[in-house]
Amino acid sequence: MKYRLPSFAFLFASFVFNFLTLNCLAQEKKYTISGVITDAKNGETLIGASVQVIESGRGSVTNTYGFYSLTLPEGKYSLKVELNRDLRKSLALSSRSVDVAEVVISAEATKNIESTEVSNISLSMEKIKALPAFMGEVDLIKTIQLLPGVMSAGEGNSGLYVRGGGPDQNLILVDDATVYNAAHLFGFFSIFNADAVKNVELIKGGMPAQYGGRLASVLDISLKEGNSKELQVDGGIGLIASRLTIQGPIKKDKISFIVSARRTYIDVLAKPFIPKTSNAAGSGYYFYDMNGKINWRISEKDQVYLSGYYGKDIFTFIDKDSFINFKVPWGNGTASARWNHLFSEKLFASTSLSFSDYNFQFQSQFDEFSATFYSGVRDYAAKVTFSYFPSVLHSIKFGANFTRHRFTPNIANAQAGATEFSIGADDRIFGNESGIFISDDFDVTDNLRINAGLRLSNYSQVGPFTRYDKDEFGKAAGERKYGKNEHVITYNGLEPRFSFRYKTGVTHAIKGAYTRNLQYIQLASISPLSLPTDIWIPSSQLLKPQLGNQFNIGYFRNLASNKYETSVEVYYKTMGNLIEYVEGAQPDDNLGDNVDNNITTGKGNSYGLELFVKKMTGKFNGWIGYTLSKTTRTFPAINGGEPFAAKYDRRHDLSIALTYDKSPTWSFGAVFVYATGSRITLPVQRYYSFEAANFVDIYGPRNSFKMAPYHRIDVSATLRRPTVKMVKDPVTGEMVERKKKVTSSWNFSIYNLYNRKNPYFLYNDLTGDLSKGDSKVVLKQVSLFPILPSVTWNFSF
Amino acid sequence: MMHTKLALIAGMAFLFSSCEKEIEVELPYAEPQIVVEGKLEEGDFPQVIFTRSIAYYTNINEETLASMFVNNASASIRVGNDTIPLLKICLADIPDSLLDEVSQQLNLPPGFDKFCIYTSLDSRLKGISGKSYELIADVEGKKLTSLTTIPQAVPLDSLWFKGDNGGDTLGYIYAQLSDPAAPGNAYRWFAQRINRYLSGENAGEEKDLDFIAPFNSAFNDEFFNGKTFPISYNRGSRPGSEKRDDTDFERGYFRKGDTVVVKFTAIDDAVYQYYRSFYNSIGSSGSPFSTPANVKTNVKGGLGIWAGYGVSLDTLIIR
Repeated sequence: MKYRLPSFAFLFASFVFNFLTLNCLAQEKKYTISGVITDAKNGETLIGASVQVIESGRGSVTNTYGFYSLTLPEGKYSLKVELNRDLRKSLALSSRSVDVAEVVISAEATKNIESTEVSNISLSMEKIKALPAFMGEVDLIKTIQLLPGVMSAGEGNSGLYVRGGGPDQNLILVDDATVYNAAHLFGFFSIFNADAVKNVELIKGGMPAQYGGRLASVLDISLKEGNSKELQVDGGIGLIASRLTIQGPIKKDKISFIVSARRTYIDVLAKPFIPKTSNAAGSGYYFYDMNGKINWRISEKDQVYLSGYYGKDIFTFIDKDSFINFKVPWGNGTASARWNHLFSEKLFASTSLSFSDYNFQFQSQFDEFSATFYSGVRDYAAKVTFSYFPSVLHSIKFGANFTRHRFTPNIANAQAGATEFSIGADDRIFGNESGIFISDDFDVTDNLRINAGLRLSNYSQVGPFTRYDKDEFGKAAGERKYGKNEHVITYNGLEPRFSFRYKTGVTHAIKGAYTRNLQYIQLASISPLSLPTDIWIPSSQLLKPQLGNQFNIGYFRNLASNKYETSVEVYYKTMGNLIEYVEGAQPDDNLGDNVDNNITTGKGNSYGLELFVKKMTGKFNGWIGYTLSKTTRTFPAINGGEPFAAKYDRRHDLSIALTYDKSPTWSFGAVFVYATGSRITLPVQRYYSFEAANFVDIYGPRNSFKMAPYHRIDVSATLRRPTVKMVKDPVTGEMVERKKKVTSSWNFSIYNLYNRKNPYFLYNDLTGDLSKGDSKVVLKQVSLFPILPSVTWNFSF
Repeated sequence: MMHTKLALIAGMAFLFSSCEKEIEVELPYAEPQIVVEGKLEEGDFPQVIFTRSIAYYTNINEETLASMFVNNASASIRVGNDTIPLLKICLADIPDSLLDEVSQQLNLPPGFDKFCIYTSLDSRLKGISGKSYELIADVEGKKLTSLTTIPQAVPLDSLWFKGDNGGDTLGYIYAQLSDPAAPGNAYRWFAQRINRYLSGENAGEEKDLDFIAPFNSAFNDEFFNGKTFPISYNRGSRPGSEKRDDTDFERGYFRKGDTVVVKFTAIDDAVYQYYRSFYNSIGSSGSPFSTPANVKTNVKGGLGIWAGYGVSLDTLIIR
């Protein structure tokens, strides 16, 4: 047994092969090696590590649970384990019964050349945390927006716009549970607490068959399982928020837990400055969120965890002058339970049950009129995925999923005095979404590897439901009532998925993909800004499922001994049955009506070129991403049927993210973004209305105007306090190094370094006095954030 | 629920000290359009005004104002088998003694002397409930048509005043409405204080010279079809009014001692849709939180509204 350890091995962390065992299948004379790769320091499983047979160049990649399996003919092999992350830290192996293998661990990342994954980016939280953070809060979504093909949507928008898709076309999964609203505070922060997240994977093309239900991308977020070795407390105190994470073993190496929580305190800080006599006294805003997870490694074959998230934003507005009170709470909750089971060395199964709830409420009171208005979506879901590794040539996945949706498109209770208004009190929508899938990732020749998959998906709406029929003029034309579980409408479809990798050399490859996706639920947004008032609605009798087709091809090449990963990709995408509100629709149009009666459908397309250069090793690392793209929409009932640019159509989008580890004490980060301005609709004419004694606007073509380009630089510096101190040994009297119990670091960030006034929105301001026959309109641009320094103190013990 | 946007706007303003600056844009040329603002009330004669739209960032002065007014239209109204031409009455034709009152009635800024109104005193054009009236106009070669119906008026059951904020001096007018059983009713509320100011600079003047529709004065029976329920309205102000009670704390309130005539009108759906989008456009003009939408119209070949009103009047003396 011999190990070739990389020369940069040091002290602290170590990676372990867990239960690396051999299994004999006598008649075929083949052997299977399988196992889970974990971080020896805290027991967390490592996702996306590649296990490669050096002799053949073939191998396996650890899945979301750190599991891999390799089946090989009898023989002598060298295995190479590659972790697609920085390995400055020490590596050590402990293992048993691997006498057939020579194991090499290296930090060289060739996964991007070897795998069939195309348009797929994985980020570790370490990388994300090294970058400057807005107001000191590390934000995963904002980092994702720095990747090519993902538009930086600007301030006040935490939506992801991937390759011309809308923010509802991304499947956001947190430990298998779907998240419907990933943003706090009108999009200024995302809901993911960086301390609780282990790994983030973004799939923007070549979506594998096990994922479905969205057109544009999958954002798969894995939360930490909790340190199974020792108790660990991490936290941070920032200018606007603080957070705390506690994790540790309940039973060492067997059961671990992690809980983390975060709260903003803008409201608490602002309170002393709002006098009690002020009209707005009592107004305020805050959000909090909590994550919790218990992970139990029952045996080498079984692992179970329970994971939960709960977060809420609460905004209160009080105006004593007008006797108007509002309270606007909104938030998400998710819960999931997962069981991983190893049937054999070759067959791995993961079964999960999950729950997801998103709701938005608006409570208002004005004199004797009161109204509560709420909308949301609630899911109960089950999913089973089998991974089968019959030989080193094949990696087969198959499985099924089912989701029970309950949509609350818009429900209001209103009262005027003693009279209750009947405004659609039971207009909830129930739907069942399901899918079965199979895919095989296999080597055709030494150079050609193919991932072929097929997904069959289905959506059925069931009662209770009331369909309010409309005639061709939009007037009520009767009702159709459906009883509980009565069938309303069903859609289904086949979604072929195909991707390939053709190696043109050891460090370069051509990869391509074709995927077809169906999407049965969608976000109807009435405002051009992304606000929590947006409503999730499913496919219905009037709305066919959204259909997406995407072709993409790229050239991937690693340079300088795999220090640099580079890629050039092009894509073309068509989207059908997209939705928009009809022109002039109001939020309360949905009340007492089916939302889809106010929706109109159309199609869209997007094409683009993406360049990416990434350096993930060494002291100096980061990436540069550039996207050239065009996205259009065509709706017969909007803009006179003429094609118009999607609001997030960005011709140019450039992101540069860099980090530099100067010393064990100091590290630095910088981010630069540049994007073509967002598109908006502006009035082109106006007319004088005698009735209003004012002007009425006439708008030009939809999204025909571009705002000023968006660009800014953020910088950060992190100062780590020494982790050791010198103490006098009480026995020998000598000064010795002792590890400090508490380690801490200071993070200093400057957001928008050169104080760029980026446009958030534009509005027209009337000046002068019309009654004196002299007035003019000027266009004003509102920007949100000037240069914003922040400081956060992070600690760990 | 209409307050959602307001709350969010207030929220943004509350949370962030945003910064703003003036910018300039070049807008594409757009052909001017003809806009109609016309009404026909039950028991009254038609009034129609035509205007032209102008480029958005045109500065407004006497000259540009004059260029907006249309005084060369030929217009008529068809009712049944009769087509009756409308007469043009221009401000320039009105004796100076009347001009001031007319300007006030029509909310006219100074420099409006190029403006004309189209009307008729033909008895066949006196509005009758249940009849349909088609406006036909030709403006500089552009053909405009619009059809409206005067719906059956729905009288209010009762009117009362309720003081606001616990007091009994300033408050709002409440009314009980019994909506007819059939769906599809739409209404518009107007009110006029016919008593006089007792003190102040306007002492002796009638408080309102005409009926005033408050903001969001149009609604329909979508949520309360066939029900009997209370509605309430604040006091509307004449746009641009600089009177004391339209600018200080009394703005929006009726006052103890006022005699108020409520004109509660029935309108058809196209008129309701117009006013709904009209108030929305005015209320959200420039707001980034609403999807820009043009005001709806029932005018073919142009913009604006041709509205028929079924009228029911009621008087409340606030004691």
